[in-house]
Amino acid sequence: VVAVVELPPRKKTVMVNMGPQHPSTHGVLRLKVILNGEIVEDVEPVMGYLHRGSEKLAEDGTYLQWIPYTDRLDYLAAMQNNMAYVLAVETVADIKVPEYANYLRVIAQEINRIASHQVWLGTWGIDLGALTMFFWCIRDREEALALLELMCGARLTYSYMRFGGVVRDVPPGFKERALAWVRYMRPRIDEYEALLTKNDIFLMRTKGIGTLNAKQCMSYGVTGPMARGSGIDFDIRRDEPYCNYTDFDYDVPVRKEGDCFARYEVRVEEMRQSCDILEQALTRLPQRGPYIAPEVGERAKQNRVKPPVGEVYVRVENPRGEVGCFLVSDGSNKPYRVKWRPPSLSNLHPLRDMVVGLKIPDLIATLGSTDITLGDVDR
Amino acid sequence: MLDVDGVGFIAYVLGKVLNFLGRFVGLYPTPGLLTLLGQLILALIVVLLVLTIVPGFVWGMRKIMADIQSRHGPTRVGPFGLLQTLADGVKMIFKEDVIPARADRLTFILAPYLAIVPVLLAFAPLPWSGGVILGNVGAGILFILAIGAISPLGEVYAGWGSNNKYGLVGGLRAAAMDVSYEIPMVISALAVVMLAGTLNTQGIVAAQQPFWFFLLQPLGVGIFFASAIAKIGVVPIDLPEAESELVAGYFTEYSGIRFGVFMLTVFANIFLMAAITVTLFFGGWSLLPPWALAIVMLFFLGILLTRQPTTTVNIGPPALAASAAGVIVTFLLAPKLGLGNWLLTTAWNADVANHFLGPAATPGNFVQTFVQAWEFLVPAAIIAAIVNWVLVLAEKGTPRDARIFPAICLSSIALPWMVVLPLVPFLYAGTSQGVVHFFGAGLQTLLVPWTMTLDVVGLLFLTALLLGIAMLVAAPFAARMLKAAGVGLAVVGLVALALAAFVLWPRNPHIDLTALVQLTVLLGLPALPTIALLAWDSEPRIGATLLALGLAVPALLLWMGILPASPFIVLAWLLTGVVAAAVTLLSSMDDMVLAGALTLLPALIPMALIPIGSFLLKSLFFSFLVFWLWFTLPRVRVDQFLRIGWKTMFPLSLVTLVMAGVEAWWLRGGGL
Repeated sequence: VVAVVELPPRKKTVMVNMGPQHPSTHGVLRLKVILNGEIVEDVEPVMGYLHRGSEKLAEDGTYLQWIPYTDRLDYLAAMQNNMAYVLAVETVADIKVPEYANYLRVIAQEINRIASHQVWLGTWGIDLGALTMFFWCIRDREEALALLELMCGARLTYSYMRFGGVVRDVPPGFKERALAWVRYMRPRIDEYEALLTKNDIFLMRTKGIGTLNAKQCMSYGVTGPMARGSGIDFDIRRDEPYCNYTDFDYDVPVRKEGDCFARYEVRVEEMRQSCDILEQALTRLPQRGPYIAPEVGERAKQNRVKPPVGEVYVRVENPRGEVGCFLVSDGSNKPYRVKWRPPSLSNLHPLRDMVVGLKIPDLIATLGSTDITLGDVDR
Repeated sequence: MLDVDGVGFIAYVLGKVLNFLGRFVGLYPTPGLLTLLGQLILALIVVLLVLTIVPGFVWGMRKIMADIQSRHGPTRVGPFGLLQTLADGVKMIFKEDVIPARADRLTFILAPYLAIVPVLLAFAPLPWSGGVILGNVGAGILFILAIGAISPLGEVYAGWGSNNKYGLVGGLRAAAMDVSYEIPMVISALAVVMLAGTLNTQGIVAAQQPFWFFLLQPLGVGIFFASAIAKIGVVPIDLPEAESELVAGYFTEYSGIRFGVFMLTVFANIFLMAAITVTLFFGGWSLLPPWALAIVMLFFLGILLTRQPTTTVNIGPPALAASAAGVIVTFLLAPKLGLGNWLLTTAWNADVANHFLGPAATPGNFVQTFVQAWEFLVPAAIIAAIVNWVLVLAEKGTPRDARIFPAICLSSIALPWMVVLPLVPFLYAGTSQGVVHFFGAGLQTLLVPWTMTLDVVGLLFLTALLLGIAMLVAAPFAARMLKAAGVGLAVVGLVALALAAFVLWPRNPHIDLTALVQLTVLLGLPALPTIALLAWDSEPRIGATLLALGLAVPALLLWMGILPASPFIVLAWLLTGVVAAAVTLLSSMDDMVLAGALTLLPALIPMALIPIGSFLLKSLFFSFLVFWLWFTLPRVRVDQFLRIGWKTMFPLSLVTLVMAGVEAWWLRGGGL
């Protein structure tokens, strides 16, 4: 007697855990990828490996004490994160910021934006196999970090913004050095483009890959260069101005295609526009001025900021998109609740829609083009 | 006669030694045994050469990569980080040998060796020169391609055996790619075989005498080289390992020396593929035609001098322009001035001269001395150098850069010579055999008839090569060491002179003083400016005076006809310039790549090493191309590569086959 054994149907797919330790997930992101050979059948981002409970920690300290935490949310765009939080507090407490401080804030944010885009471009280059891009970007970012260090004494976690201004005045000679860097950067951006934009392999790898249309962007809450790459002409700096962004003349680059290449073009053009803003801001920067609102004061006085009861949602354009801060104040010297709206999280969500049906290399290219920071996703 | 027959030379020396020892035992070696021993020793030498090339290669690759990426590369272990590869090797050997618990042990262990052994075996039928070949297999190219095709199997085995999903995908990619590039590769090689009419590698090199095959098969070169990059497996076609996608692809689970073996495979493969490309399409070990030499030299010089345009003074363009001017002037005017009677005293073919140089090159015009060429070329080169210097100074002069100006100027003097010298023999016969004959005849005028295959001058240049390497190694320690190297060079030169005299004397009682004087100049010349440039550092005035004397005195002697302008004197003068340039650079210690290149160049010139040097240089050029692509291009997607392989490269390779058929028919005079 032969026993007939029913074999289970052979699975055609294989599940691969990309990450949390993988060269191309840019942090501790885990992607559960269902592969059929080279083809990606399904992908599910699993996040939370870097969750630190930052929002809850806000409720434990004074208003001032949470500023350093914002540095560590999106560590590549700490200036904008500072800005969002400080702006929320200032709005509730109705603090007026001096003109000079606004200039310094814009300069700091735009230097940070270029530096962040450089990190993105370099690491995306590695994702695509173009190793040299990374070193070129990091080489040029070095001076950006040096400039930010001149402003606030730190290279990555700045904690530069204060309620009503910034932590300190810029040292003498900063203006010239920053202008020199801006002039140095313009030809470097052309150099980056020379290495990639006209390269056939690069175009093959990025054009028509990981497409996302404007409607999907809206429904997922995708913002920033990703949304602008899909034809959504929206930039908070221009459409909902804060600081003194209205004083400067710059363009908001928009592309219709919505693929990896469109996002790349948008970000590279944004670096140029940031150079424009920086040049205008630095040339117009007054010689001296109050860098912090006198009614608030510096140092320990900052700790006594006590906004009236109220709540506010403010948003700031960060290199990755809209970073929002929802702040509830109960009138004490501690925030009652801070809710952070990170752009990376919303930008990561449509990954599945973008890559299903494409190949493994396209998954890497698309994930890289979303420019997420895992500290920002997980908070 | 002077063809490099390494086996013959080794057998000769061995014969002397064994015959001497044989007296005590009463046994004498047979010629057959000597030849066998000679072959074995030569085989050992070439294998050692391959195994020496690879670590040096890794170091060179890392330095080039660092340079492209605005970094320094390895600097810590040993001088210039030269020993970094060694340190890495030691580290890998001592690391824990991890075999994953659920791996297929046999496959896992077998895979690295399956990958490396075919690559090493494929080195066997590579012709390094007319006589230096490890195994002169009849169907050489077939052997290389067939055995090389086993290597990807190692990658598939590794991917499968390591029981890892990334590894598996990498292994499958290797298998899918293998069938896509191997076929166009073999077909484009087949076109060459059709043209050459032989599968033998030496035969293919010999068949490329009137035209290198890349001129007949431009498409074939492209297909072969693209396939070669895929076979090597580096960016843009490093799909089986693709580190940003598959972590490390097929060797994800490998660690320690097993991983090292895979790395070794990649680098051995880079050199192998470059060498096969050279053998099939670029004349193998035969010398560069002058135009190609000029292009390659300018290319390299340009690359080396225009490094890091954004961060340092850009001295490249003016230097390049001056050098190019020197070359062009040389090409245009040298024939009009005559290329020398020493050429005529050998066997000048008036038809060839007419063909290449036109009516100006009638024998009548050529009955002039080479000194006349000197009269024009030396001032021209010096003017080029001065122009160069002025241009450099005018652009931007910092003290640090000023130190390498003399070197650049000297190299621009040397460069036209490097182009002219190979030109002469090519005009003479148009073949590499002509080169050998020409240099052989020149040797006879300088030294007594000497039947030894590797001659004294060859040994001398070998010494220069070793010294160049020694100087590279010694450079970073201190200027003191450099001075020691300079003194060492002088001492070695004198010792070599004494040895040469000792060897020559008993054999030829009629040896005349001229030869000795020439030898003295030849050996002494490099020493003087070297010492001069060393003195430059501490006492610039004395150094400059010495340098001027060292360069001017021999030139003056030659110009006035006191020293006969034999090719060896010219070579010595050239060597002077290049060694001096190298030493200057080394003492400034910040342009190691250029210094290394310049130091090693003169060692590639002598006749004993010409074919090997030409082969090495060409192979290194193509390896450099691989590196260059590797570090500037993004990676293609796997399906894109497969599509290119099947839809573009495969049909095009068939076209090359048709082309080769037509060309073969034409080359053989329209008959079959």
